[in-house]
Amino acid sequence: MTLTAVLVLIAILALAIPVAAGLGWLGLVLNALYSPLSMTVTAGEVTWSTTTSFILVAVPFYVLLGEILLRSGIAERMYNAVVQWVSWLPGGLMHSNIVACALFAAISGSSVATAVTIGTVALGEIRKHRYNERLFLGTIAAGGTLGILIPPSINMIVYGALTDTSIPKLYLAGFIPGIVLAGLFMLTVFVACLWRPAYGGTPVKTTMRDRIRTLPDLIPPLFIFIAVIGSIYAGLATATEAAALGIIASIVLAALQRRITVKMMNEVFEGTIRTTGLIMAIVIGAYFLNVIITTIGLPRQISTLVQTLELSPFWTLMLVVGFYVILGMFMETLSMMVATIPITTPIMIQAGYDPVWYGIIVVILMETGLLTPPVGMNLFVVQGIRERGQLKDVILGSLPFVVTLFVMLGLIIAFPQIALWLPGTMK
Amino acid sequence: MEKLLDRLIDFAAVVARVSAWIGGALLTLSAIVIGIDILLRNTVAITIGGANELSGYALAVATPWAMILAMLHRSHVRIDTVYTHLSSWWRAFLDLVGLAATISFFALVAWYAEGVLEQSIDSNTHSVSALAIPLAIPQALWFAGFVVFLVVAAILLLRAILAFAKGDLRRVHALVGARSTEEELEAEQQSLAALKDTARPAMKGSAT
Repeated sequence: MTLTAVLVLIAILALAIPVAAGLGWLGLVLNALYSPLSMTVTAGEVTWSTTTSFILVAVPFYVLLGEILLRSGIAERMYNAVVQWVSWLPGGLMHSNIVACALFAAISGSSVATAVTIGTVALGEIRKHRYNERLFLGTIAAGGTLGILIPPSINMIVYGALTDTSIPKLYLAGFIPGIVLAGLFMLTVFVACLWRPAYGGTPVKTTMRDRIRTLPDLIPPLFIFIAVIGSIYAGLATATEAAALGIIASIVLAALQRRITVKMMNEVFEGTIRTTGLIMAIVIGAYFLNVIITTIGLPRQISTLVQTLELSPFWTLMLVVGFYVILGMFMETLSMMVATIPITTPIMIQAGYDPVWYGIIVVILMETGLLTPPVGMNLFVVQGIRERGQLKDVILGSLPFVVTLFVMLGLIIAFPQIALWLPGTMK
Repeated sequence: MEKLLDRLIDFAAVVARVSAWIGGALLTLSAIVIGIDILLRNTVAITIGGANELSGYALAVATPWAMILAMLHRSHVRIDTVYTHLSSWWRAFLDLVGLAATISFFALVAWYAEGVLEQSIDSNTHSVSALAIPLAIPQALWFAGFVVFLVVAAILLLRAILAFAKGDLRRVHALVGARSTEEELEAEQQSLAALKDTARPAMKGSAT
């Protein structure tokens, strides 16, 4: 049964069948082969209860928030302010890229959106300051991946919804690892520039006056961050409600900047609906598949299979990590998550791991997947914005940061409290 | 025949854009109501009530209509690791297979969605909340979305099959092919650039 499921899934994906329909069809095949009672009749009820779920309303809400922010000009001004403050470090603007990505990640739930937004603003600067181009590209691709680790995070919503894990807890659990990871990324740049000082380019000249002058440009993202994450931490709002607060805050800010036009809202609505359509289609397929695999007992079978290997919890974890690292090279992250989370999470919980902690491990593995070729969305995104040279430059430039991600993974495995301390302080 | 289908596809694009506008507006509106609800709840302890439930219906109704827009934009996620290495004939062939798989799976969903709607009508089901919404109303819009999705998908499939039969592989790709990341970004950047022209200048003084 397990082997059939894996083979059918590989075949469907290799044929480039749209993931939503592919997951649905995998469900239909497994249902026909193994289910004592046909479960297809549940397709209507499951789809209704899934698409009306208030938890999943968070998905279009965070997409909407991101769309408004993307078109409000907040990111540009924020980037320019960050440059004033951190570009004196060896590596200059490359640190600004990472810090700006981390700040934008704190108001956006998507890694691709983070890389696109910061990349569009930053890429013009490479030649101006003679940076090592590859490393510069790497900072944007890698910095962008912080989008799903630093809350809010669309991937965490999907993880929470699929595994019944508290999304507010996941958000808080991602916060400190996100800051630590951003710090490690900066350390990576720092070390590279110590090793090869020429990588660091020419420094950016700033004055204290310029720094103070740009300070107000950091207020809008801070304001949205407090509205979204502050309200969750204070226990005032759920993840979905917090997104609603974030939307109001971003509309107010965009209105103050006089960015709200009919045309702009049109673009925002279209972008939101398009992304919502593709995510929800996959969610429908995934939930249908979930009903089938639960009915036929597939997760239990795989769990038992793993148990017969008699691995210690640590080696079970290593097995899962290895699985995601390899899969992450070939699969887009959201599809990978919905297809595998319902299987791997029970295994990890049975091995004694905390589901919130495991959620953070999964998100960091997804970040790795975004950077590893041949299929790494953030690599494609950065190359796409750059519009010249070869993809190879982005891949090589991101490689040091993939190593950094593994270091981060090791830190969280060795010290789970990095992730679990903050959610533990919440009532 | 082709001309008729092309015209229908253009019409579907208009429908998708209009429904995107309505769907986006509904979601934004529900976000605003929920936000105000939280503010009131935590300041003067008044609750509007029902906003969460309504936002759920907004998402359910918007979902199939949003899938139409995603389909016309060729945005539905496909794993193209193998796909990109194939000849254009095979790619076009897989485009057709993928669309057929999409239609068949969502036809099943729509079939049973109709069952859900019918049951709500027959037993006159109302939601259990204070609002007591007759579920048939959101469910009818939700089911209609799936029907329109299937109709648009069928038109696209038919048009793509005709193009495929004539050997017009480019046309197949333009209709139903997997969008490459470059195409995706180009569209995104164009829309951003278009906005910039209308908005006031973003920032005096540059990064340096």
